[in-house]
Amino acid sequence: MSFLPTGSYREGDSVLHRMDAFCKLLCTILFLAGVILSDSFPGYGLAAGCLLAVTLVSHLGPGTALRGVKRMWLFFCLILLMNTAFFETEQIWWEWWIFRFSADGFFQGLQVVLRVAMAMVLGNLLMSTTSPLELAGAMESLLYPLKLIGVPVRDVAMILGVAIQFIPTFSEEAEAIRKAQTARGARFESRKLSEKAKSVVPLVVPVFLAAFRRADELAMAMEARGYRRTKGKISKRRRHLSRRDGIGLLLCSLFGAAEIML
Amino acid sequence: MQAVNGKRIFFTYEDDGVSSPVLEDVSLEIQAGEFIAVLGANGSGKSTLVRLLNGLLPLEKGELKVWNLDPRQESRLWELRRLCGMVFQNPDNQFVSSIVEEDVAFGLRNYDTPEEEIPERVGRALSLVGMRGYERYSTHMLSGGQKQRVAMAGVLAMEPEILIFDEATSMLDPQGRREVLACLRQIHGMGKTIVMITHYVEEALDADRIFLMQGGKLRKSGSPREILTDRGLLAEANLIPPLAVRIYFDLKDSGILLDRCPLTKEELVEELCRLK
Repeated sequence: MSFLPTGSYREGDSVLHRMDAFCKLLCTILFLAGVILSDSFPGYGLAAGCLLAVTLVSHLGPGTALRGVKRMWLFFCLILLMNTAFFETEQIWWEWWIFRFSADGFFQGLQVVLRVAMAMVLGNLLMSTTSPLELAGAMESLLYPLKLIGVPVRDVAMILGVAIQFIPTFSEEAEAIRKAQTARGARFESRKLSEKAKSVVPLVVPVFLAAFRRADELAMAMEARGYRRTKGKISKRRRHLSRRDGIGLLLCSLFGAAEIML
Repeated sequence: MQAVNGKRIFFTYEDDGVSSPVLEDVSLEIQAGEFIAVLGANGSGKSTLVRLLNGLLPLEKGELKVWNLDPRQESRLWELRRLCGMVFQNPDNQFVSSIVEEDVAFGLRNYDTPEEEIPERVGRALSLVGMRGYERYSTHMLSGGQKQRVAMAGVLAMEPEILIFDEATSMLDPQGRREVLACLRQIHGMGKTIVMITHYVEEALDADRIFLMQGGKLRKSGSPREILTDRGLLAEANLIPPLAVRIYFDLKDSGILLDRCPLTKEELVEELCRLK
């Protein structure tokens, strides 16, 4: 037995779990659009409050919702630093060599960090409350208009669904390879950027090779179970939109409108 | 009824203009309800042979009928794949969904099974492999043996006539292997035809017949006793005989002769007791 990796579906009976996958995907897109359109801190405050409420409704707990976000702290710091040091503005805090540190840059960076972090929390909530094939089916429905111009919607949705499901597996595999390389003297913990960059190469190559091997085996297993590229739909269940789906969509639309106004 | 009938099968892999023959002049017959173990060292052509059976690889030369269907007939390929299910080596690389019941239902949905029938068939398949009650479990939470049994359920749900196990136990711990082999025996008991590829000679003891592959050829087919007690034949095929057989020959080399060559631990004990 092992622990569920980040981004895996978690069994539950919350309102979010019971919502239709297609509606949930639409709500996520609306919510995300609201977060992206917002450019004021009250707007971000509202978004954070709503995310907290959704997390509580999902019964997943903040730990699950924030999983993965914590690991990105270095990336967030880098975004914040780059924006603070390079943002083009008249009001500068301090200038040194090519760096122009400014308050505007800091707030711009903070906005980017908040947007990325909230998008990650949203993604976590969506994937933790929707099973992979339901999500793939929802993506297929969402992309359906593209079918009219010849886009292989079913394949695209299936690839996305399977890829999402394999993210935790790949991160586990990368970790195992990293440990194996460390045992053979690789220095991932080195503080020198050049050494860090060099050590990533022997990690990336085996991870990619493993991904190709897995993809090959999975494709064969899917074919052996009758998967045909040209036939059928991923999810054949008819969508029954309930009142809770309608309320979810309405609330997310209201949220989007509020974000534009703020 | 014949489950498989193949005559003079050849197969060659082409890679950058270099062709490497993998199967050469293989002829085989498998009766419905038989349990066949395919033994052979790496690169002997075992996996290629079984992948030809359910049309995962195209048949190039020779004749092949699987449950009276020709794998070369494109229009009936999907029927063939339903009739001839296949369980692969690594269970993690077979899951399309991380939820047990969704994954087991994947094949059924591909074959347009009515939605209202699916839960019952998924439940039945999971019961057969002893995984009832795990429907909503995440596959990440299962042990290796349980994962492979879920993969078996995914194939069993399609109600195949022939089940192919392509080294399905090779990545499992001893407990996982025991679980999978127990399921396999149970499925064979239901009258299904089983074709099992394995490196472990002990796993072939329960088979009705063994196909010994060597260098792309079907070197010999026969009962487990015929094949597994032939020390020279196994050595040529780069295989190690079962423990009981090895002890028999070690005793023989030391001048102690048993009445007959035992295949299992139990038979060995019986023979040794008779020595007194």
